[in-house]
Amino acid sequence: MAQVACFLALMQIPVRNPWYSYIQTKYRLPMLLVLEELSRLQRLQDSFVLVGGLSLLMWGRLHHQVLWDIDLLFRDKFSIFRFLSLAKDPKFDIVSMDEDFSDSETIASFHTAWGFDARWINVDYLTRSKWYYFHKATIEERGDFEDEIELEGRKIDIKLPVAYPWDMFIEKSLSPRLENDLSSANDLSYDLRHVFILFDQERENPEFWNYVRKKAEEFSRLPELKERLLFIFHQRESIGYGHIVVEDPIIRLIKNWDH
Amino acid sequence: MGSRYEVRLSGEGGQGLILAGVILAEAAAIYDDKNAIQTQSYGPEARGGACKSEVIISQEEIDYPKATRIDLLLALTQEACDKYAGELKRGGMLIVDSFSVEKIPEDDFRVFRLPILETARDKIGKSIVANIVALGAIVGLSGIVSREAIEKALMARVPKGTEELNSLALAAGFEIAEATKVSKNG
Repeated sequence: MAQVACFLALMQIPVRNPWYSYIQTKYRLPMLLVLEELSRLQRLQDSFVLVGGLSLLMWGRLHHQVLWDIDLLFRDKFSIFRFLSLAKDPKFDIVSMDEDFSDSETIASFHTAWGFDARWINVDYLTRSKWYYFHKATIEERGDFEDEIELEGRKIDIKLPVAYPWDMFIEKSLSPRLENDLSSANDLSYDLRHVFILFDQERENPEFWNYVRKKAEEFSRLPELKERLLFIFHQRESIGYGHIVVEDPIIRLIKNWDH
Repeated sequence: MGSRYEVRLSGEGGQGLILAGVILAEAAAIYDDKNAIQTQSYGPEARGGACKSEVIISQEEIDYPKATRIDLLLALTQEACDKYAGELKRGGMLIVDSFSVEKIPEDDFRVFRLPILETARDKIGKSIVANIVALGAIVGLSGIVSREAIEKALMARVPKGTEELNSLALAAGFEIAEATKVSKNG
């Protein structure tokens, strides 16, 4: 790792801190060990995808420190029940935070906390209609997230189906939660923050825009995505993102999506 | 504060209580070097739109992540107050919105009625920041995290250009807490 960093520095290529360096020190080992355990469990039961902000962190798209949660999107509720019944490594304390599933129109969820050395990581189990298949299709094509990390004398192997950033851009843009955030002008919205970060990173990438259009069309959500993105960009001042520039060609490109 | 401090934030869905809990936990764990866990849990009441968020903060290790004896309860609705006030421990702190919560059960806890929703709406001009006003009030009254830590945790989450508005909301929360402390002592 040090040799790679030196090589990159000589080549004047910016060396980014590894993704897990944005996990607060005392939670870093517990988080990585939980992800390693989830990797083992996923080999026993391939029925979930890791989504949410952590997926963006793992793929190197976020560079800030917060208390990260693990969001696991399951194929269906039955898969969650089966996962709950799988034996977990006894080094973890696992506590259910809910009495029962929480069901709304758009999402079912069950919340747990996994403890290692009395440091707790939130691990949330979710199901949301067809979104599992939405993410899984890309992961099957492009591959799982893989990393080998040495930390505090341990070698940690992670191999997990982690949602890809461009898919997360689509999912977050279309999420009912984001719709609520827009209507209440909530400038602290997680989803809006991530949408704008990804937009800022990809704004000039034609491959990104082609991908987003094609994927949304395959998922039969293109007209809705078009309307939502135009609204987000139009409203960005009122939701705290007036400093983000959205050039006219981008607006025109999106407006022409279904032509 | 003893080694473990339990906070429950309760009200309606859409009041930003989960985010408030996250910011409080991050203030403790990232900026004040304490241990913290934030969770939101739902029971059947979630179907009615009610919401609660819990934060456990401790200087020492947290052996159990669920709240069992609440030190501080924030209730932004009458329903939340009715449901959870009985779970406050003796000598605990109950903070309620003075407009929305009229009836307070009698018990052995300290009550603080604060104009949280009104402050957000009328003084800051944006009802959505009620959760930030509430955070300022919680920290101002309890001292469970430092003022510096909660400010840093909030600023780490706000988009550029909204720092001032959110700072004002937090400061307004500190002010109403201070005002109520003075009136109780005076």
